[in-house]
Amino acid sequence: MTPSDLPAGVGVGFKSRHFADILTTRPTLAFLEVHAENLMGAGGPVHAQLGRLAQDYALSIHGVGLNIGAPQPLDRTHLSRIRHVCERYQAASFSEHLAWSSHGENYFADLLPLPYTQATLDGVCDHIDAVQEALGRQMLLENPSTYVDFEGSTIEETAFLGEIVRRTGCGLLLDINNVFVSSVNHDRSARDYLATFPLHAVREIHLGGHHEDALSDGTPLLIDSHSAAVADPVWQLYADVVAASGPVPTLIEWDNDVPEWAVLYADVRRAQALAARIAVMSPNAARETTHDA
Amino acid sequence: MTREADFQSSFAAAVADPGAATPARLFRDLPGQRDERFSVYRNNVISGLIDALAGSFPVVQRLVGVAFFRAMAREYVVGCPPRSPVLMHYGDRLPAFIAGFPPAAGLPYLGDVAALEAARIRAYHAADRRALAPADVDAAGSIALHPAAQLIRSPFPIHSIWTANQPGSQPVAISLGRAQSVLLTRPEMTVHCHLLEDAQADIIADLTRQDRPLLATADRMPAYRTLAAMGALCDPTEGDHHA
Repeated sequence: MTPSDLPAGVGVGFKSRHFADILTTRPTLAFLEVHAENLMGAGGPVHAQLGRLAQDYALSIHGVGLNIGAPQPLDRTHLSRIRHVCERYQAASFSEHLAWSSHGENYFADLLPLPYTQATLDGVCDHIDAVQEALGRQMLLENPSTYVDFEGSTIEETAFLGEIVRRTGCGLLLDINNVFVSSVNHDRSARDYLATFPLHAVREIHLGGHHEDALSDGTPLLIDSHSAAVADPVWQLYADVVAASGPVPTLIEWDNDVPEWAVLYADVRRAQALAARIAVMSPNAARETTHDA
Repeated sequence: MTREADFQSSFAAAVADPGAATPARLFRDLPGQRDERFSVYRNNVISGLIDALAGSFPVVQRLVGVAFFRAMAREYVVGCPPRSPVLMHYGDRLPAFIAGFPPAAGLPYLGDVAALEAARIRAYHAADRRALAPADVDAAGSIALHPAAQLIRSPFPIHSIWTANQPGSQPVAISLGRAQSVLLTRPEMTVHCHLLEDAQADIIADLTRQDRPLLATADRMPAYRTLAAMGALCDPTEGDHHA
């Protein structure tokens, strides 16, 4: 099984509107990430642009529709489409979500939550085994942002992810914005969550923006909108994680209300500067992470 | 079925149906908050799909206004939810839905304008193939439709309507009593929208119906050359290629 192999440094979620900016300004980017499902057309500009950029940048393929968290069997047709995309673009990494998005015949185009139980753990592990076998590579699994807490959950999310790693050998995609969003939404400590997160298995970090909302009783509720710059508390958590674990390939994610390139690249530069500062302050951090299991 | 499958069934049934009750018993959040928390998912699912349709059908949205479009798209999303995680063709059934949507009956051309916009999306994502140049038509032994070429025939002037509703266009008076045929092509990486004469549209329709390439017969050469200049034709003896 080929391990996930993203280059160290900071990448961005690629949007078509930034194609010319990236091609002409040659920004410092470790990799580009693209949603797998957007690459499933037969031809046209989507493939032409990505084929051009793949000459210069490593690619991370990020799935949103594989339905790993559902009890129903994986969609084998969709899995083979993903394999085709990963092979065509020689992807450095493939990642998906601890979530479900389809039920029966219907696709919901959203990352929906699941209770954490022995049964859902078994199901998710079976699905990840099948994905890794079909793709011939290690996949990364992303922690979710959630708005509800299931009555039926019997396992903490971090323990659930740790057990998945132990059983399947997959890596983790730590979305720090999701950690912050969920911690606010469930009135828990993001630091406590990260203290128990299996950091040794993290192969990529996501940083994205959220939208601040509130329930009608005044309880704050954050929406994982990917439509804003990375928020300050998320930067602080990122600094803590990188100080503890050493540098990790990091993605700036901005999917909705996509801004002009300069605005997105400012967040890339901020992440690069932060990682460089921490590397100077704690030179041992990078070395320690090379000894994980 | 396991309890986990039960959790998913009730969640799924309620998340795509604004009229369904929240599966509140699934959650341990404060009872007074469960409906609102669940509504975040419902809103993400429904609004996300409406947003995707709005991005694909900008002219339809401009013709009916944002509020009408979103209300119409909401009915489509609830009545015709996506069946595939590949969403680029989710709007393919919207033109037929609009044609049968009673509140839009006052704009009888709306479904055909939607068909034009859906065809633009198909053309955009169609397979890459070298378009046959007009100068090469005579030498080509046979002729086939380029994979991106899409024909929309309407009893309404959909080309005029579409053109007049591009960003920055000024309002113009359009007489509705005129049939128009539109050909969409993507010879390279840009989708083009051509107004066709009836005879040209007949030839494209002919090519669309063929499961085998047509021989390039002499009487059709001038028409083939014109259509080739639009990027509508290819040489069927050449394979697909990745541009």
